[in-house]
Parts: sequence; C-alpha cells; structure tokens
Amino acid sequence: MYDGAFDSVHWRIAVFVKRSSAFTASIVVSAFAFEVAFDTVTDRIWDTLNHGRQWKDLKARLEAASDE
Amino acid sequence: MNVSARSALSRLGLEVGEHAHAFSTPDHGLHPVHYPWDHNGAFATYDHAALRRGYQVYKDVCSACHSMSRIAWRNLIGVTHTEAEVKAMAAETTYYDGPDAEGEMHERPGKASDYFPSPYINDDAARAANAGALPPDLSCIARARHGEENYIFSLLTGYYDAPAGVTVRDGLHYNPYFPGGTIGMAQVLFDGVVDYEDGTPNTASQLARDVSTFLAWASYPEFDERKKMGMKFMIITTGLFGLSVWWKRFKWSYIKSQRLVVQPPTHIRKV
Repeated sequence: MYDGAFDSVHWRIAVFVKRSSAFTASIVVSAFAFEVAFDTVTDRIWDTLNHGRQWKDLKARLEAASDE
Repeated sequence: MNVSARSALSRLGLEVGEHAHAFSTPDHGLHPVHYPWDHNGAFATYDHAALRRGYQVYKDVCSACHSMSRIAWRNLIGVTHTEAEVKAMAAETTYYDGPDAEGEMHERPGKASDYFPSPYINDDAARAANAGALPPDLSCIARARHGEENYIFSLLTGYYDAPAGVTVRDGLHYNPYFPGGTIGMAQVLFDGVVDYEDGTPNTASQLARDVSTFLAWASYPEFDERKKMGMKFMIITTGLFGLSVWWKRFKWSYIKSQRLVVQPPTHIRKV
C-alpha cells in the first residue's frame, strides 16, 4: 500500500480514492454540485444575452401593464 | 453564386452573368431573401413579444382560412400568454364533444387542452370555399417550405401587379415567391388591419414579420431550449477538448523528453 509515502495533502485526496464506495459517492456528489453550479451560471449568461426577449420578461411587462 | 457575393462583385465593377437555366427560375418561385431576423444566431431566443403579436395576427387574419390543427391552446401558456388568458381564449370557442354516458354528443366551451379550431370542417369544404385552392395547415408550415420564415414573410409582402406578358387567371393573384407565380390567396396584410395592444406600429411588414415569427415558433417550439442546450454543450465540449489536449501532452511528455543517441561501434574493420 502507498500509505507511508503520502504526505498530508495526498492523504486527504486518497480518502476519496481508496474505498470504492467513497470514490463513487464523491463522483456522484461532485457531478451533482457541478451541474447545479454550471446551470446557474449558464442560465444567468443566457438571460443576459436574451434580456427582454423571453417569456419571463414579457410576463413581467404584461403584469406591470395590468397593474396600472 | 449567391446574391451577396454578386452584389459585392458588382460594387467592385465586376458584373457576373446569370446562370443559364433550362427552366425559368420564376416559374419555381423566387428564392426569398434571407432576412436578418433578430432570433438568428446561435445565442438568440425568439422575441416572445413578437410571438404574442404574431398569434394575434394569426387569430385575426390567417385563421379565417388556415387551420393550425396541431397546436393546442395549452402550447401558448408560458410562450405568448398566461394560463388565465389561454383558458379565457379557449373558452370563447365552442367544441363538439361526446359521446357522454347516454351516447349523446354535445357542445361545450373549449379547454386549454383543445387544439386550435379549424375554419373548415374538412379539406373538401376548404377547397370548395376557396375556388379549389386548399389553404394549407400552418402548424408546421415553416418546416414545410424552403426558406422557412423568410419565405412566409416574402410571400405575405410579395404581392405585385403582374408584369407584362404574365396572364393571371380569374381568382388568382400574382406573387413571384409562390411557385408558378400565381397564388389563390389574395393579399391580406395591409397597414393597420390588426391593432396591437402593446403599441407596436401595425404596418403590413410588421404584421408579416410578427406572424412569420409566430409560425416559425409553431414549427420549432423547442427553439429557445435547443439553443440554450447548444450553448451549454459548446462550453462543456470546449472544456473536454482542453482536457484531452492536456492528457495527450501528459502522456507524450515521457516520449518527447527522451533523447536517443546513436554511438557507432569504434572497432569497425576497414575493408
């Protein structure tokens, strides 16, 4: 085993790699977290590029018009 | 040669002749201009305010003759109208439904799940009412015509007096964008035939633009979502491409950093 050769940083990474269960769980959790973060950022970029054109913008204008 | 290249050459003083065709291209319909739609481009959604106005044009003008039988009222929710508006609009139409538990047919107000009502009960009735010409269903018309919304816009704004030498039969109208040059449909979009609620100028070309956008949406309802997925796909694949480049360099670094030196043997027998 590699244990003796690992310094503290490598040892912390190795926790996620040594056991298959921890390895799988870390992949699933990080994929989930990445997708949430990626979608949040790209949706915000998309809404900026299409500002005023989408249904949510039109709906806000309609509601503002009906409130008057 | 396309139009822009030819006009660019003619600006340089170079005239480029037309191709010789064995047939006359106007007989097959003029190719529509590629208009700069504001939903063109990789990152642009439809302008939903234009879709809402386009629905109004379809409802007030086109739907007198053209069905849109594949589009349901519910498809407008979250695209052009709110749920309450859609339910109110659907309820204005009467639908023939049944049979109920007693086997009776009955009439009822429309629901959001109903499809758009058709102006004629079947295609034969539609032909009989339009001098033999069938007004096509507009549900997928942008997909079904070369040039898509460009064609629809060109056709709607393309009514002219027939040039000398072209005879137009009774009941037909000259339109160079329609294959054959004469079309059963008369010009329907004129300045001011539809009143917009949002104060947009209701010129004929504005009406044509909005209804063309609406019909394009009807053909491609997944348009906005597809483009957004496309943007995300390109970002992810760019990252993966960068990783694959790094991986290749990583694997090849061992090979590329080796140096092979050939030392010829020193004791070679001279002959």
